[in-house]
Amino acid sequence: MWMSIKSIHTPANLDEAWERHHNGGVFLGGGSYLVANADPMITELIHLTPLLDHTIATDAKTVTIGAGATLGDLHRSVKGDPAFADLATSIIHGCPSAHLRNQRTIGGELAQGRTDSDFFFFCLAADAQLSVWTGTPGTVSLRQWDGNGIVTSVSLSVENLIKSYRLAILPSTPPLLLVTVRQTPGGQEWFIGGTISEIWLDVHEITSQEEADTLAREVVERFPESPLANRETWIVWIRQALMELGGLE
Amino acid sequence: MITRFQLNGALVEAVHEPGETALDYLRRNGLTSVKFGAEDGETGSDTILLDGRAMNSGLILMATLGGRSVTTLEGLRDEQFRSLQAAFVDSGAIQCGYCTPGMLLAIRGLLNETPDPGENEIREALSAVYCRCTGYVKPVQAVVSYLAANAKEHEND
Repeated sequence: MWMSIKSIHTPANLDEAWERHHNGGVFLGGGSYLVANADPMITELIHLTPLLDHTIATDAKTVTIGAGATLGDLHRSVKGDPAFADLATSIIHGCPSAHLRNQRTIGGELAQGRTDSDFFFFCLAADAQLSVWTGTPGTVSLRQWDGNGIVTSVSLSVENLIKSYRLAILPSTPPLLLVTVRQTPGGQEWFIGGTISEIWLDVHEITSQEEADTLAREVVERFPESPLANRETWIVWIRQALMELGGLE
Repeated sequence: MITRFQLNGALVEAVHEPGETALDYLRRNGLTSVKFGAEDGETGSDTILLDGRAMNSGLILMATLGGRSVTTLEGLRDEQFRSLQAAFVDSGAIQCGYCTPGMLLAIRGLLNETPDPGENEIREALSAVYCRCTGYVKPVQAVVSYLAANAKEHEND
């Protein structure tokens, strides 16, 4: 029982949902994060899922996902297709429980913005484009999104190969370290995150072990202290990831 | 507040608090196969089928169930379920039994989507339910033997 909840509204349309949000309501998607946390400061919920598109459309290199579709829906749509193998893996790693995948919506997962979510990380690396409702429809890159608005759909392109590195105690446990790299015309785009509470992005070519070491040290300086390992250990882990993904090993 | 939904095949008008979870409501109404394990969905003891898919009832608010269909173990009485249940008993897949309803529903949810799953898919479905007695070996064997018996029966049809 979430004792502080006084009302749950299922709005008739996005306008009504947006208005209720401005009056203090909190958006509820699949609910697995919110209900588990049961924040006592939240008193009013806005049940978004019935309003949102649940369809998933794929072609050779892109997938467009209605924000009401679940991680399970998406996994069933893309598994077995080699073009989306890394996306499918990120869904499984980010949410190992099949039950939770059946509940968690794509919109909710992106809105959570968790630095240890493999799926969120993959979407960042793939430069996911969001359709977002803020009283009017608009589009924004996930990388630029400030978290304001209702995500109605997301479009992902896997045209540029994304390579990823994951360091975790077990495949089913949250990653200590997540690193992705994508080759773009402008250079290698690196994302580094994990259980640390920030995600770091840079465009940087890594061509030697020394460069990897220097970059690992720069990255660690920008991260907050972590109780999971000391700074030297983090440097070793990050350097290893950079060298593997950079093809230096 | 009132929410109308299908519960084990019957239309129900549930009277509940706005913040009540499906787990709380179901247990309050005598459906005790649905069990509390953890508040974050880690254990799967609270498994139900929602529109045929396995989910954690402890993470679902009653108010979001309008028009949907909920199945608990108490609502499964068909031949497929009886055969699966028998396979669990015959294989020794049950020890303390706390997780068994969740396991059976997880497999039912899997079979709803994939009628002839492989062992990896079986393991993957069962992994959403924590079991600290069996080590999963016997439950996997139970499902495999159920599927084998089922396939043989269809061959003979």
